[in-house]
Amino acid sequence: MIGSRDGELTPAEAAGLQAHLVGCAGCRAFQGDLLATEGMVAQALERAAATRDFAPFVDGVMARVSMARPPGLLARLVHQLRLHPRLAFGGALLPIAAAALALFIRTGGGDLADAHAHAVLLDSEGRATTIIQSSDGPVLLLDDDDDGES
Amino acid sequence: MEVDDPSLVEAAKAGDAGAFKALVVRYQRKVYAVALGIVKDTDLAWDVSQEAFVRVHRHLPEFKGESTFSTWVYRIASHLAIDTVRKERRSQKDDVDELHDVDLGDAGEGILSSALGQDPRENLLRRELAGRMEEALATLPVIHREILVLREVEGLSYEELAARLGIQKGTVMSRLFHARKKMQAALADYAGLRVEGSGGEA
Amino acid sequence: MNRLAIACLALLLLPAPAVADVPLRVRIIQGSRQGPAKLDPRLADLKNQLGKLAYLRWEQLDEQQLTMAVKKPQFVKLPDGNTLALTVQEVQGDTLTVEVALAQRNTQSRVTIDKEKRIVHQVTGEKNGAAYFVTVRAWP
Repeated sequence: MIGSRDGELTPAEAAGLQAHLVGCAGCRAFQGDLLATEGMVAQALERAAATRDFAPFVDGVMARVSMARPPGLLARLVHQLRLHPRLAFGGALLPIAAAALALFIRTGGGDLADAHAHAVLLDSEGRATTIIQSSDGPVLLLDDDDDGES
Repeated sequence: MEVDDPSLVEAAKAGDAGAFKALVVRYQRKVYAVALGIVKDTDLAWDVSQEAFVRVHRHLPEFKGESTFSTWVYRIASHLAIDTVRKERRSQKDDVDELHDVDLGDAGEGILSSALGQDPRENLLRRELAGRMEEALATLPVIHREILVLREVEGLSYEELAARLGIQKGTVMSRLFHARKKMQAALADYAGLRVEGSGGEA
Repeated sequence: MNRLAIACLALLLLPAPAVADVPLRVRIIQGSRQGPAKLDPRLADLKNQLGKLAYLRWEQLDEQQLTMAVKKPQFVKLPDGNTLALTVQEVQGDTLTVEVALAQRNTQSRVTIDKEKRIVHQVTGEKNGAAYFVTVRAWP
């Protein structure tokens, strides 16, 4: 109860707490400590967040979002072109292939945030997957449940 | 003029990638802070934070506005962070599911308020203590880190914590009490040394 | 018709170079939270990757050497009765893309790795503190 905010305790609880504090020096001291350090946990974590360079964050999210999505028609076409180089060298297809290849690399061929990460494409419905990178290769974990608004 | 969350959410639901990106940028640091408080490791917090937004993107069509968008995002992030801690070795020492009964009898009650109150260099000590907060938080079992982060960073009330964690209000208060006691113990050593150094006793 | 167009036409007529079959070392392993901590000696090469997870005990249950033709799935039986499908989707030099598909979870993962690396992929949910994983390494 110590450290509660206004309105969080019922009148009975608040009265009980006040009565207890009168007779308990240890609890009063504890309450003093909480007041003295109020907000510091949040400050510490928010400062850690503030000192980190978030410039690449949103691009990393969008890359993961793209990789989690089934490739669109254009990306599938480009993938076919990569597997069949004869088609790729067809003169009429060259400029289209070059543009589509660039799009494929941008949307599906890149890796996650880190330079040393391995390219992982996820195409999953239902259960989600978590990726942990290591120098010997990726570790993919299945999650126990998926999040929705509840 | 800044566009509000509901407008960005509606636009993102309609497929506007720019709107979704704006939401990410708006909440990325706080999501990271929540994740960091729970998983402790900065690289893992980065991964978890990004993955949280991927989940947000995936489930955006189902978001009906029954909670605020920010509450929803933080809930996803904290669930994912806890899930990751359960599987990740880096938190091996943490007992995820049980509360350890540690001796809280000698947690040095009052040492922090005393140190901060008596030390003529109070601002400096406060800053140093604030710098130790992350370290101290990292020493807690994840079950305590989680509730402290949700309380302090997300600002959840007892009722909201009870609903989020699926526990009774009484358990929320008890768990918070234990979490804060452990933080106090972790910080008291440092504060005690500083008090002794300045000639005072707590 | 210019020389470039003639060259392109000539290339179109050439047969595509065949991609050799890829040998894969596939192991089914189990991670368990129940102690004591122990790593099956056969899994010593995975110590770095498995060490990142919270499971204490690791045991190798099965090992197969598969010869994979590109884009042709092969099926591996799992101890829980389900099956996973492995497919080498693409090979480029010393890099290959492997697809791990778990029909019962409606999950497919495509992972691109270098010759020296291994994939560790959870293939079942956790039950009684234990879960099964598959590890894949090409050109072992």
